[in-house]
Amino acid sequence: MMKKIVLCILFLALVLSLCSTPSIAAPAWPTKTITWIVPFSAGGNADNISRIIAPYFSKELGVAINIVNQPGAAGEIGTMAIAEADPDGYTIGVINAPDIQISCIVNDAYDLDFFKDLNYLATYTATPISFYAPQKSEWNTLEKFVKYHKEHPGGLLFGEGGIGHRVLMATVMDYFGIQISSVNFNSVADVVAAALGGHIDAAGAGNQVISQFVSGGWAPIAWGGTEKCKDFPDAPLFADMGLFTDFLNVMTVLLTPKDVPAYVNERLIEVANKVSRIPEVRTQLEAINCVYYFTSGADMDKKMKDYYSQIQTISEKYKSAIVLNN
Amino acid sequence: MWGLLNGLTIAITPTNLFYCLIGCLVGQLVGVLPGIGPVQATALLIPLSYGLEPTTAIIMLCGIYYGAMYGGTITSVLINTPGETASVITCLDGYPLAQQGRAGVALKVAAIGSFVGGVISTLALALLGPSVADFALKFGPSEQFALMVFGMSMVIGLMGKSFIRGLVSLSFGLSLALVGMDPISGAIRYSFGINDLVGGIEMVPLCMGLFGLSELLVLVEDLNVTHKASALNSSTLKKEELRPTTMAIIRGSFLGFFVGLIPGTGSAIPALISYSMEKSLSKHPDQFGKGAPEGVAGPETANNSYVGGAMIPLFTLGIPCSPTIAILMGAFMMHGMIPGPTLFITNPDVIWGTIASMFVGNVILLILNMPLAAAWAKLADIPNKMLCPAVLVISLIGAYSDSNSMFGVGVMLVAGVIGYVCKKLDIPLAPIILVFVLTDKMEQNLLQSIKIHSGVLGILTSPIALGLLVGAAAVIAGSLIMEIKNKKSSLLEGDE
Repeated sequence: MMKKIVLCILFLALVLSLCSTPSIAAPAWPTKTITWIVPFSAGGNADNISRIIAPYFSKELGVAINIVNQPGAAGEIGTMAIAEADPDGYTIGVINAPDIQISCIVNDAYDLDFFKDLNYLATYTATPISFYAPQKSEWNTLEKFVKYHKEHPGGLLFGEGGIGHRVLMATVMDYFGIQISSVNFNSVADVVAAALGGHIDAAGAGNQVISQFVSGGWAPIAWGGTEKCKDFPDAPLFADMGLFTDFLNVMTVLLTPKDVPAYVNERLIEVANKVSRIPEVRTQLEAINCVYYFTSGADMDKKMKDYYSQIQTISEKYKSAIVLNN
Repeated sequence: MWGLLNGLTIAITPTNLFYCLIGCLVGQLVGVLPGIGPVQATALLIPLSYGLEPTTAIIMLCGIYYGAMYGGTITSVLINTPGETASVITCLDGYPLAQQGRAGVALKVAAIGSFVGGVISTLALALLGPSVADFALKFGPSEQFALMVFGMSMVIGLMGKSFIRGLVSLSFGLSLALVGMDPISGAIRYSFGINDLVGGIEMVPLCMGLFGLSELLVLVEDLNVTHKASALNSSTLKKEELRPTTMAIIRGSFLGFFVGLIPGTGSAIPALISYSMEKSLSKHPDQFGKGAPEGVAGPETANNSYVGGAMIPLFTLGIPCSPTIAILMGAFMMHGMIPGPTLFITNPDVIWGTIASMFVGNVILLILNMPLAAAWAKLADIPNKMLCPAVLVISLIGAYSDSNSMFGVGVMLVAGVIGYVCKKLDIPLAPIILVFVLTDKMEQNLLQSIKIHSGVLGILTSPIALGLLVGAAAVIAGSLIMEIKNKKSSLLEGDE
């Protein structure tokens, strides 16, 4: 009898505690400084974006936000730190898509579970990648570029600045049935330097570096995104060819560890939506040459997961072109 | 030239002058804290510049950069702890000078060298400007690979007395650099299943452990020693040191500027080449490593004039040559300006104002540091039992804050013990860190060149690369011959 009473009390206590937790704790977050992890070095694109939007978040949430750079292994280390942080809502962060999907797909040693370890809340940017070539070359349009490759498979040196660019290259190879030979550079800046110095024949790089390319006599031969390039309207959109490349647009996505209470995610999404309505946010992001694109909540989460499967399909087909050590 | 004068009138308005001073002060303060180098300092303070006029903001950020560069020199000289690679070389002779009670000399020589280097490279930037930008672009992967090999050959000059011990140090640095992801394929090497090693070993904690902590362990052996302010404790150069030091500064200025033009070099290369050059030109090469003022002056000058050179590809092509310059580029963009050839036309005031402010910044640093050098030098007189714990705490914080992880602290502690053992075995430490820094870039450029030329031999088709590789071979051959000669003569002496 005694046992039953104790059990009942315990059960009641459990039910009560479960019921009461959200209603008591929900308004109590946040009460102290939030750590915002950027898995790249200070001064990089993700860092610049974070330093632009974090102050607006801080103002809305009423607490300070401390940006912490944890660079290394193409963002893998910092992302892991976010996933492994205490799920109390006081450690959040950002990561770049499609890098995170690609890491999870091609790096077998990477422990992060893309679907289980993180919540994807919002992004303010989606900067597409384009193809560039010298204006005076024999392959100064996409058509000629494809024709040249049909006649000379792998005949041009195609410079690219990262694994995301290689996935786009593989997508183009798949679409036209051609073979492109790539040279990998550490950063987009290195690609531009090699291009202007005549060390490579064509390049894949973000839309944001167009001015540098143009200054060296290069021009886009195919353009990423949904709007044509203003100065080079002749460059076809990948989208117009039926090539869907949105999944390769660089998005800097706000993250929380998987097990944070639902009210933390809800509040962050609410704040993110509010911040997206501030006009200066867009102006400031465009000043650093990002393409402004806001999405949040369920849409964001769905995008991340849809893109994962698209990248996985293309990666499996072109593993040797994407993962260079195979 | 007219533009430069125009820029000067912008740079010396009271507001700009004030922010330049603030930048230099903050930069220097931050630079003194190990673990926070010019890159981090500039990046962290960019948000502070939002509210300012673009020109003022850029001027302040540049000030932070020079200030932080000089701050790194201070810790290298006083506590043998370089905050960034450019200062590793400064430790070699700066710290021995401090131990002899001549820290003031090292700091002053570095301040004057930085000033002259800064001024000469600013002038060169104003005069040559866009016309040399094409030179920078000639350096593709093959040429950069050859340059890295040339840089590596210079490391031989730092090997100390024993060639074999030098090679041990060199190979150790090389193997450390291989840890982590392969720069091209992303294959993971030597991480032993430790996730933190996947990204490779961080340079700052490694540097702080090998140099700073190991020195601390040496000092702890005898805690009661105080660096007595000896008779030598003056801040003036000896008469016979004057000429070589001046020449080192002049040579360093031009060297730094031209290396700065080449994308992807980093400030360690000019410092390294300058040190080797001074050592080989010196009448007393044996004094290097024991406190030769020209061993501080040349590299410090070169790494400062490097900044002027590195601004050219940034301003004219929008290509950042080094991490700090990349951050400045970010700052330009945040203030609505895209670095590139049109910047000279669209925002001439900002460009020339910035160039002129480099002049002003160097003057401010010189004025600040001539009197401060003596004050800083007094720190070297603090007894070991008080100095050691303080340095340990600062180093621990620095190692942590570099990547915000305890792993960095671990790297520093292990590196410290290794450094201590190396010191006991007379294995030189500088090659470890310099080879470590050069390897990554060298490997990447090599793989790119192989891809571009479909083979290794294709690299030789570039005249610049060929020239640099022949130069490197000559340096190595020369050192080997010297080594054999020295061995023979010392053997002969032993016989007599």
